[in-house]
Amino acid sequence: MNADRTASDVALVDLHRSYAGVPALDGLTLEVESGEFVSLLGPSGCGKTTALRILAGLETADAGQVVVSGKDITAVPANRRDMGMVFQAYSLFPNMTALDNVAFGLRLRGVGTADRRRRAGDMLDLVGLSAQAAKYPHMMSGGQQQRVALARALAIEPKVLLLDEPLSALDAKVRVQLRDEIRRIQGELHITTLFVTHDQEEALAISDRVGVMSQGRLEQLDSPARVYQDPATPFVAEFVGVTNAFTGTVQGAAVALPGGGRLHADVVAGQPDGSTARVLVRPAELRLSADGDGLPGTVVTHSFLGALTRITVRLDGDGAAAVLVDTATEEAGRFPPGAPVRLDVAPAAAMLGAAAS
Amino acid sequence: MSVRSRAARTTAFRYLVLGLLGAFFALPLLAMLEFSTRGPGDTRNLVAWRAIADDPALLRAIWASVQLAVLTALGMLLLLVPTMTWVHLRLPRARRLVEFLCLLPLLIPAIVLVVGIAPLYSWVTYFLGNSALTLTFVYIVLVLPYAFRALEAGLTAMDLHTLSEAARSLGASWLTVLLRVVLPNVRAAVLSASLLSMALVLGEFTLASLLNFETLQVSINLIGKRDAALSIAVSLAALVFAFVLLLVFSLLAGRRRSAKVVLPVGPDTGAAP
Repeated sequence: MNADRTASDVALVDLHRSYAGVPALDGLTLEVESGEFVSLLGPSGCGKTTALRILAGLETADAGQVVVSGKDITAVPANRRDMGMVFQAYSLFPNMTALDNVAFGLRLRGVGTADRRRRAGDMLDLVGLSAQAAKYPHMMSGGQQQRVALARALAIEPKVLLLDEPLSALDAKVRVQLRDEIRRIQGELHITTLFVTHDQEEALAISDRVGVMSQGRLEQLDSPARVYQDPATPFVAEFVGVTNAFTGTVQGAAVALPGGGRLHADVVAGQPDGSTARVLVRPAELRLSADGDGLPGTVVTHSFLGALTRITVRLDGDGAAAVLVDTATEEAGRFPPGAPVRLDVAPAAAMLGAAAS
Repeated sequence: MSVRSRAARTTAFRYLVLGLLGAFFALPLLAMLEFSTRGPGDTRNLVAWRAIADDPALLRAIWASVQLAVLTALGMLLLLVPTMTWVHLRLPRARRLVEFLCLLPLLIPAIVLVVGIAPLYSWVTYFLGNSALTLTFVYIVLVLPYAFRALEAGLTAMDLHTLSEAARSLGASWLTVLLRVVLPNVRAAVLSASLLSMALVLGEFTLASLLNFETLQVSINLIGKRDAALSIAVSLAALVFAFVLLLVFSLLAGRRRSAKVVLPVGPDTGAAP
């Protein structure tokens, strides 16, 4: 792709990177629009952090292009890329106060002392830490340190904000708090942001678009709702959200399961009869009933999730298949553990996909 | 036994150990002081101590040793800090090799080192003159094992990778990373390495003597043959100087920078540890 033709703010074009012959990125192409908040989501080792580090200039790609604001910056060193980055590990300079940390990048850009302090103070105010300005990193909590790191990254008014799992070292409550704060600040400053995480809830909650990665490739780049409801590949369907997988033989618009039951699945219609198909269904798309012609099974456990209760059902005749069904909590009492039930796919259920073989 | 009496016994034991150690170190020093201040009969005087200032050759040797100590420490830092930082960041596989090379001088006896280095020094003196300061080169090699250990401890104690990457992403050149991020955060290790190097140089005799340079220790040895009291006075002065140096460096290493700016109090939504 020619750099001049790139309309987006950030473009990673056909990036390849291997470590000792093992590919970490295998032709990754990704475009991020100006002011957009994009998350890269994927399991460990899928290449998401490598992609971020190549964009930051901290790693070099074996092949491919990095384009920012229409300029090819593939060969530009990290210190001349004007990117603010927040790391997974605490990265504040231990010998500097919070204010000096935030002012560090401004100092390197030759901003005068008074202006530097004012701007650093403003940034600390933005992350709600002006009271901690004189504190050293060891005097602050993990959450505070990451917020100062965010202020430091934003102080230089970067072209792109890069967040490399900045919340993973924090406890659950601070994590949610800081996650929302990052989104608020990003929205206020309208700064193009690339966020790397392996936590799907985090990615789905705060992103404009989510890129799901696997084995160095982008499987899908879409809005959180579409990634969840309309996954492009079986990998995305299984990685994002909780999914039940039914593998069987195609019979018209249904799949015959090894245990003897038949699961109605429109997604397999059109596939040759007798071929093997794997149908993926969200727990919320399944219905339980005491009788009927659904798949027979037995309730194993209940997991209380608040408004919903997740019921685990073991299908009859197939010892290995445990299916998760989300039911309104007030309904769940009708199906106590040990009760025989029938399992159906909800009418007009969104089947997530079928892979034929 | 009650808790109070057990605590009292522990305290007493602690003071006993401290007292014994103190005596172990102080007795030779007191003996040196006693010897260097002996006068005729049972009198005491400071003749030997005053003679230090009246011996130009000795003063030259002291000055040469002090310069050597400073130059060696600086040279060692210039060589090791960037090299070790680079190895940590970019060449982790070379770490063992660098460690081996730095520790090598420990395994080579001084006499072997001199035999190997003497022909080289004929070239060094040919190009740079026969100043004792040329010993800096061989002294840098000599202090490598101790300085390496001190610096290695400092570098591994910090998250060098993340800090340098954070600085780079904020616009810092590699030199800035070294001067503003690495050095301030390994200050204690740098001071330890410098102190060890200086102490080693101030006490080094074999190499200087065999290579025919007049340093403090060589002078003390020569003076000892004609004036024992003066040589002991100089030795004691050198020891006290090294202790003072150690104290100053310890104070510098332990000093915490106080916060320079306090902004108006604002909301704090995070919990302090």
